[in-house]
Amino acid sequence: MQRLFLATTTAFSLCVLSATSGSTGCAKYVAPCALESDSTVMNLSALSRAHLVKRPDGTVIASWLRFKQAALGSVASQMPEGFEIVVIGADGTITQQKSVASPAALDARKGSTRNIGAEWTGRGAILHWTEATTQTLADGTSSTHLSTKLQFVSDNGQEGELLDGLSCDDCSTLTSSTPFEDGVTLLHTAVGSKLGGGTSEVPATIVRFDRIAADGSRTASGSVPWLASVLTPAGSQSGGFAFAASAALATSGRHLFVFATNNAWSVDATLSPKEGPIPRPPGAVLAWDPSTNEAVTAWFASDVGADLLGAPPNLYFQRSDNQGRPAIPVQRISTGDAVLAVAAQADHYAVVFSAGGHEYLDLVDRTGNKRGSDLDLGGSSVADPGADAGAGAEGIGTGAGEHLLHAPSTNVFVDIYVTSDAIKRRVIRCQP
Amino acid sequence: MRVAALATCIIATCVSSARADDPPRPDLVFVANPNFGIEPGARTTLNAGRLLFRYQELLPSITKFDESRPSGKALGILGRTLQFGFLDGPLAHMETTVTHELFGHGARAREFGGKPAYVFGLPLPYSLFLAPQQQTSGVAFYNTDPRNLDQDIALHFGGLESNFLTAHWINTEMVNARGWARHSDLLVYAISKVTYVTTFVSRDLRGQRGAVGDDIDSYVNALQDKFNHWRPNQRVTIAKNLQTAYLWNLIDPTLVFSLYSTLVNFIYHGKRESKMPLPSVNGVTFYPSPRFNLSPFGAEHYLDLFLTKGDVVVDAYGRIGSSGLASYTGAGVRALGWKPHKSVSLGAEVDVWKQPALQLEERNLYTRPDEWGVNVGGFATVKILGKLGLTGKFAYKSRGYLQGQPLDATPYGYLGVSIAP
Repeated sequence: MQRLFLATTTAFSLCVLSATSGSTGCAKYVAPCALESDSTVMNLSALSRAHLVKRPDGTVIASWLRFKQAALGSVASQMPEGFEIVVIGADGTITQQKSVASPAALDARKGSTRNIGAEWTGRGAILHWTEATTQTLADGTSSTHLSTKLQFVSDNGQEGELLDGLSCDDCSTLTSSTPFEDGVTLLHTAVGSKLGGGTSEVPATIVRFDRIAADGSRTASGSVPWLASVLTPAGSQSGGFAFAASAALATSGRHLFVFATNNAWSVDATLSPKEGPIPRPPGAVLAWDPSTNEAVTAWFASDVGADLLGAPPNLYFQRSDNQGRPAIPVQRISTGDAVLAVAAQADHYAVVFSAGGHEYLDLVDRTGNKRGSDLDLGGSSVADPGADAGAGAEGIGTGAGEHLLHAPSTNVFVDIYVTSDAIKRRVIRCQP
Repeated sequence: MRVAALATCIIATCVSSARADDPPRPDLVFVANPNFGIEPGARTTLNAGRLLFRYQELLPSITKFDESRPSGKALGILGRTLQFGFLDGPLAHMETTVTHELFGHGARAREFGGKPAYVFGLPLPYSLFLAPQQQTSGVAFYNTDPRNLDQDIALHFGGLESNFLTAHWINTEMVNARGWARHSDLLVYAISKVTYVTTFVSRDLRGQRGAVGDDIDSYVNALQDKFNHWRPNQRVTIAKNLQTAYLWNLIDPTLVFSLYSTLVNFIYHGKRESKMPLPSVNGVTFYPSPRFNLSPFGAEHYLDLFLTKGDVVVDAYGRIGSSGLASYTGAGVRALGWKPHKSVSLGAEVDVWKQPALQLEERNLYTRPDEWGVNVGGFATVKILGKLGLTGKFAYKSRGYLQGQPLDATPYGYLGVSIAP
């Protein structure tokens, strides 16, 4: 027995030697990606909300409406003073900065406008807004007429013709716009029971588009019946129609997309469908992989049978071909709150998402397998993820705070994002 | 007054001399470390329980019947059944609950920097009629990041891990005593081993994950998360494998003996000690024994070979995982009770393993490489004043999982007192 004990203590000594020599355990985990830098591109006014668009040359346009300095909530604070454009070079420096004044027609409204927006065509800004006129009828009821207007203002301040977009009575409207192929495409959606065929129970939807060239001229315009037929209005008329089911535009790479509640379509500049529908679960962000002509989608869901109540929802990832057919089974890659951006590069994909007040990046291979753990990118860029609904550019979706994730070179992802007071730029470098 | 008298008697019996014909008793050991870890906590609670169970030594003068007569036998059996149901059972249940919450879940939470809180209820059977709304006899509350998957899963299995570790120490001490064990120890052993048995054998474990569930449901959820097997059919596979593996916990001769000891030796015969028959060759008593455990990778199966001669007990074991989610194996040996001097008792342990690397700082990491790891440690007890001694353990382990020990690479140990029987 004493021999056995001595043998044990000998083994003990050998193992102490082995452990202290570092031959066992404690191997340091090496993350596949690292945050190389996180810098401020420029500071913004607290009232601004920048929109990001990537151009084919790799530069990024950040643009935002500059509102009049006035007390928050006042009529003046709702009136844009002008439109600001910044071009961010591939290295993160600002290469151009422009300011376009608000057109006189918009100034004249003095606040009775809705859905104000703008896009830069390269030579000036096309501003769009919706004018509301309410009149009381003889029987005491009131009726509101909405009319969407478009007007080009060149870089040198010259105003173009005031154009009509879409108009309707007692309806709700929404306009989405994005630069695409040396121009701007605008998509107008209207929902109302007084539109053709609509009833108080099932309001009708009409969809129109406008195509504006770089010089501000309207080159095409018309209705989009195929899109109107797939949109389903939500909400009640008394509360104003909610546009959860409306359509919006965004670009990814050289593709223009229109996305509705559950699907996305690749379309041409006049909104004729080219590819799709690609399934788009609620909250999903979608990116187009130009190397394979496939869509990649990432979204959060709390699936029955897969989640504990109270646990963060799962982050799912899916690759689909250009007709929306799944290329791989849905993969679970993390947990958290909201997808912020998705980008494709060669044989890998990156997903930026928020979880518990932080933002993370996941690297996923073509089979949907996640490489490594969640890379912590730092504190969340928005206080309330999900509140800032809008269309991302490189990644398409509801977006939570504007993020534009792209892959300018091999193994490098750049995340340009907007916080409440700045445009920032993260560089993430990954191992091959 | 009565309580004070009882306490005095318990303490008095604790340090009173054992009679020469008494079965050997293990030292009473009370140890702690700064984190109140699993192993020192389980050992201290076990021995605190032994101290409480010494109330039994007051009973013969109160409840002594002539059991050679049928009426006396019947009264004796009735008395011991009541004692089992209303004293020993609740005491053992309370002891395993404290170990489970305070030094199981709680110890793991403290290990990760948490400050757990606890709520304890009445033990069975008192909770049935005094607190019928009571859901559980104990709950530990802790705040951690559940996406830190290696930490999360350890929090879930920590409770049962501490119970299984308690059972292992009882087994070791029983072999060291050549098979002798007290009825109370065997009762604690049985309860420690069968905690959550109903969940382990329930088909519900294979169903959807839900908000309501016990540690085993949470453990299966955590295995799903850790290995990213999130689909419902994958949960079924994980749960089935765990349930099959659990049979290893039940085919345990000591568990069978503890049930026999309780029903036959204690309730029927009135014996407070039982001797489990163990084979012996050339004066060396040996006992191969299965051991079951939950690990961060799934169920873990040990086969212990205990050897004892004189005061020395050696436990050589191998361990292997069966979850199918990863490959995890290990082997080790622990020797205790070597006395180079009449006042000094020494021991040593070593464990070597290969298992998926633990990454305690990473968020939602699903795939890891396998990694070798080692644990080495030494035990010492030095008598300083009669039966009173100082006792402790000092060890070092690399990062990895070993039952009842910290997960990270760290020197660790504990210190306390031992009181010879």
